[in-house]
This record gives sequence, C-alpha cells and structure tokens, in this order.
Amino acid sequence: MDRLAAMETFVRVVETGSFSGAARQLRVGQPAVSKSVAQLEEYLGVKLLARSTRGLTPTEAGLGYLERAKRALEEAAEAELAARGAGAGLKGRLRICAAVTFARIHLIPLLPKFLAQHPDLDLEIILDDRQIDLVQEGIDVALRMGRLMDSALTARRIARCKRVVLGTPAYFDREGTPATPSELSKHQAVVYLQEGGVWSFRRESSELAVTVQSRLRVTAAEGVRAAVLAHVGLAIASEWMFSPELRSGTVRAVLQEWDLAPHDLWAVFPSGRAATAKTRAFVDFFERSFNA
Amino acid sequence: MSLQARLDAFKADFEAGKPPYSVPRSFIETMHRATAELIESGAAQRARKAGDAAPSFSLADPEGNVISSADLLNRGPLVLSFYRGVWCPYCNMELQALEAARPEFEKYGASLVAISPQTAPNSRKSVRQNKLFLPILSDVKGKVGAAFGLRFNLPDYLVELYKQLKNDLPTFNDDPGWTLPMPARYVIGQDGLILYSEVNPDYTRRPEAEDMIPVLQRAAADRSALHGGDGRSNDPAVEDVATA
Repeated sequence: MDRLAAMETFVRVVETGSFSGAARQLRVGQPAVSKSVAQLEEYLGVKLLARSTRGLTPTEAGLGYLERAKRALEEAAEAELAARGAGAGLKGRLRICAAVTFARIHLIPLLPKFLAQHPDLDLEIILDDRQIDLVQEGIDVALRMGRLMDSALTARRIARCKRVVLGTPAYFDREGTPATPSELSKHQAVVYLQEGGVWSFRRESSELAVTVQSRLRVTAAEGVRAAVLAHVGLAIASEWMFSPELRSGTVRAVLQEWDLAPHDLWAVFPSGRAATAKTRAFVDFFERSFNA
Repeated sequence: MSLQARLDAFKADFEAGKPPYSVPRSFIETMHRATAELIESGAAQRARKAGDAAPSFSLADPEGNVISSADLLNRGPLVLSFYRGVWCPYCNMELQALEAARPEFEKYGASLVAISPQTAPNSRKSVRQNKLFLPILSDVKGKVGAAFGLRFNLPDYLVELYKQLKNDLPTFNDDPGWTLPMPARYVIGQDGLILYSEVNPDYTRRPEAEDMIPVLQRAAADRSALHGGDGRSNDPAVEDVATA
C-alpha cells in the first residue's frame, strides 16, 4: 500500500463527504477509493469512517488521523519541491475558481505566461459567479470579489477597485445624464440580482441611498454587461467589469463625486489547509501581473 | 444659491469665531471631535435607508394635533426631515429651504413634515422664526428618531460644552438623557417603503430640497400606473413602533 496515496484518498473522502466525490477529484473509480480506505483502516487496525444514513463522517480516531495526514501530505509536497530546487518543477494540477466575467477579462489573458513558466503544471479554471464550496469542489484557490462572508476561509487581498454608476453614451443621449443620486430614481437600472435594487452612496460623511427602477434583473455579471452595452439602462459595476469599455469610451461613468463602497479582490483558500507551493506560485504571479 | 453653499458660508463665519456667535476655537475643535467620532462609529450606515420599511409614527404638532404617518401616506408620498432643534442654525436654514420647496413637493401629491425631539413651545419658536407652514412634530424622547436608527447619545465632553453654551437640551427636549437624532431626510412611498434616504452624521451637511423632486416624480408615476391615476393606495405596510 502507498501510504501517502492512501492518506490523500482518505482526506479527499472526508472533505467531499463521499467516495464518489473523492473519486471524481482524484480521477479514479469509486471502487478504488473505497478499497484504498479499507486497506488503510486494516493497516491501522481502527475504523476511520462511520457510515450513516447522512453519509460518511470521520470517527474520533479518523478526525485525529485527518489532521496529521493533511500535515504529512503538505510536508511531503514541500519536501519534493525543495528537493527539485526552488522555482523548478511545479507539477500536477491546480484548480482555480473565479467569476466568469472577471476571469474572461483579467485572468485568462494572463495564463499563457504562467503556463509557459511552469510546463509541468496543468490548470483547471472553474468559472462560476456564485460562491461555490471550495472544499467540496476540490478548489485550490478562488479569486473572489466583494466582501467575504465566510469567516472560516483564509484569504489574501489582491487589489481594491472602485465601483461606479455607468451607462452608454447612447443611453445618456436618450434618457439624460443623472446629476445626483436622487435622479437615478427616474432612470432604468440593470440590476445584478446578487446586489439588489437599492444603490448606496457616500459623499463626505453623508450616507445616501436610493431605490432604482429596474425592468431587467440578471444573475450573472456577463448579463449586466450585455444589457448595459445594449443601452437598456445604467448599472453599478466595479471598473474591472468594464475595463475595456471604460478605456475606449463605449461606456461612461457618472456621479463620480459620490462614492460607492469599493470591491476588494481576494485570493481565497479552502479552510484548514495551508496553501501549497503551486497555489502560492499562482497567487504571487497573479497579484504581480494584475497589479502591474 | 444652494442650501449647502449657504450652510458652508455660515460654517466658515461660525468657525472663524465671527459674531454673533463668537465661539472660541477650542469649542469648535470639541465639536469637530464629536462629529468625527460619530462618523467613525458607523451609526449613519446602520440607520434605516432606501429599500427598508419606514417605521410608522403618530406625533403631535405644536398645537397638539396628532399627525400619523399612515394618514399622510394615504394621501401620497411623504418627505420626512429629522432635525436637531431650533437652537441649531443649520437646521433652521434647512427648514427654510424645505418650506420654499414645499409647494413644488405638493404638486406631486406629497406631504412634508419635519421631526425633532424638542417640546411644543420650542417647535412654535421654529415655526415663528423660520416662517414655516410645514408641520413640525415633537418626537418625545426621540423615540421615532431611534426607530429610524438616528438617535445617539452625546459624549460627555460635548454635554459639558453644551452646558457652557447654555444649550440646555434636557429642558428643550423635556428629556434628562442627552440624545439627538442625526439629521436625515427620507422620501417614503405610499407602500411604506423608503425610496430615498440621506443621513448626515456631520450636521453641517444637508441635502438640497430639490433633490427630492425626481424621487417624487417617480413615486407619482408609479402611483398613476398602479391606481389608474386616482392617487389612492391600500393601507401602507409599515411596522408600528412609535406613537404619541
């Protein structure tokens, strides 16, 4: 039995809560996963997993083993890296999760350089505007925007971005340009459903908020972009979401004397696991390139 | 000249120690400290804002007539101003600006009321001094202000300063607690939901009266779309938290 491989399998089973979930992440069949865990239990002489109607949960012995196994796997990975020499030989697969539009504009164009720097590394980019479960999905690192909701996650702030009210010149020609936030109540807004139809501003220390009219509400940032570019209405967006169009003048920001709460970009790591050398290399690369 | 421009001009004279107030610099610095701490506390961000249900209220005007938000909302949208009291020159300037805009608000079927924690005799003084027709209501012990998340306790050092300036809030407000509302402006739709909010933890900053007009135009358009232009609505969906 390969003890390290068995440890890895056991850790994935606990994190995903099932043999099938672990099998998907490890790209092996489910029977191989259950066999590996059974061999490990036999070797140790204790039950590591309790099987109940609610799924698989670690036993008390399993919980203690889990923590030490995670540390052992991380140590082994670091040892391999150190042996190969610094900078050389990042290997295997890195699963990165990001919001669709952000990745299209800001992440994916940077990847050829990273791939060229690490010829033995493969990337899987999971694109989703929703906040998916990093542990369940076996994600190494997620790039997330906005405020962090889950305090159990370890995260590192990469950058901060202004948010603005924006629209197309064609929309402003047709409907007029709002001069104050209160004038927004007469405009059509394209609302990103995750954020809602109340727009809050700050000027000096004053807190303003206004409900906007929106006949179009969408669940993905890509839809907000398309609707704004089709002149449907105004939107609140981070400048990241419209970087090319703000540069070219295809969209214009208005009400710039009023501040919207900025968005932060975070690299988020699954809880309970130290970032691996691969993950660190990617986050360092992205932070450097993105802020360049 | 905009209201804020007039407030800024007044503030420049006041803070330069000019008469009639002739306030010493150290007093100004104490006032600045209190404002900075109130801003820093984040209280303004926690107050009721657009999208929230407006707490309902029934409060007396200086003549003792009880005015309820439900009655006002039955007639149309409501512009609501929270102010500190007749002793506050910034509040008086704001009340005058609102009074000047009142006929325009009424074109859109809206009511305008101003609320402060001061007692009826002080409210009568506000009316007289500022030549007001808009109803100004006494919020006993600042309960409605608290329901909107606007009431705060003055820090001890500001209480001491106000005592020196004979700014006797416990008498003005018939309330032993030294509390005030942060100045705030709301436009409330007939369904009881707040359409527009502005909270000013720095009391020297106030919204322009005219800024309410686009919100009222929109509320009027919504009303005619919903009710075939008859201007009637169902009972507003509000939570009752404060009564006279």
